[in-house]
Amino acid sequence: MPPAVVRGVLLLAGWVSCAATADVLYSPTVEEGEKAVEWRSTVKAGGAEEHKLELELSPTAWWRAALLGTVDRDPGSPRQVGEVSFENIFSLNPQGRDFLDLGLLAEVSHKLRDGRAFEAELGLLAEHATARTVTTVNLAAERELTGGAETELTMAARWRYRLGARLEPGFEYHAELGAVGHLGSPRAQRHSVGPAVLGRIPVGRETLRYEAAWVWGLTAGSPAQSVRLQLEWEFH
Amino acid sequence: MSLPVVALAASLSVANPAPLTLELTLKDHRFNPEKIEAPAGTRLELHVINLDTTSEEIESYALNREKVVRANGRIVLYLPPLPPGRYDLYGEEHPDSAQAVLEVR
Repeated sequence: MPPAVVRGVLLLAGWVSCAATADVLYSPTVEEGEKAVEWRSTVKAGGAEEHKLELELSPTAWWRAALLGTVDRDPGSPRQVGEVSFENIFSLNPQGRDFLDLGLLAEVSHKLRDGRAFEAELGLLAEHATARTVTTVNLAAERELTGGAETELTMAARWRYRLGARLEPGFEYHAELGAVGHLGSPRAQRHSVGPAVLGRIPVGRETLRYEAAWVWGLTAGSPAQSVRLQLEWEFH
Repeated sequence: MSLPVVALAASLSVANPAPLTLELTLKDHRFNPEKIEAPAGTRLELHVINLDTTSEEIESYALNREKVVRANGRIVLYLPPLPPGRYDLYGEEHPDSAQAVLEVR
């Protein structure tokens, strides 16, 4: 990835005042044979950062697997490797056959510091498309695999208009609903909404995909502003 | 969790009217026919049959589809009701020859 692009995204991410509550939205659609390198980045208020590098492969039309490495930095500290993850998406029905395209997310992460715990995430992915629009909804549960850990629920949704391959405007919604058993009132949860843009740019026979969203908090506990940036280099 | 999900998908499938089936054949990296027509506002099933000995990736931004059809294989593209227009699709491995148009009226 060109260094200028990396610097530009970091600058944009650092410009916002607070971090994203969730850093990705998953489509349940899997494209057989796809190979990609993906980069997700978040820079938090005060200088905290999180960067994820992902190697992705879709061996079948219903399974996409990815290995991720996370590097993060607390304010005033050096960057260090945070965790490694194995992420899987299973498509449950052929794209477009039913009213909803459905998928499952299954991810295991291993923290490389702070107790070196394992963490599991399970999610339900749903998508509905019309001729010009695509609506995606993710609902996920995440839990550290240690005694006494709580299961945290998150939700994310996106609507996008397929204006053209290079630019698809839309809106995103992200929520941290809290721990199962004591979710609390919606006002105590984190809910954010805002505009998003997606697109793909052909580069020779390969494709560069991008996603960016800038959301505002809807509740007192939500980040005032959040940004989500993602670049994917898809090749054959 | 997967059983209720599959049941939900099946029930939603039953609720929709039957789609119109269309067929495209891929031979010598060319589609046959190269132009197909369909009525607007109807769900479509576009069957693509690959008679070549190499796989091909069927790609169409207009139809929001990217799908691999293996050598001597067959795939189905399930398409929502479309407004009138021309919808291009092509084979990513042979974009110069493998081109087709779905014309919706």
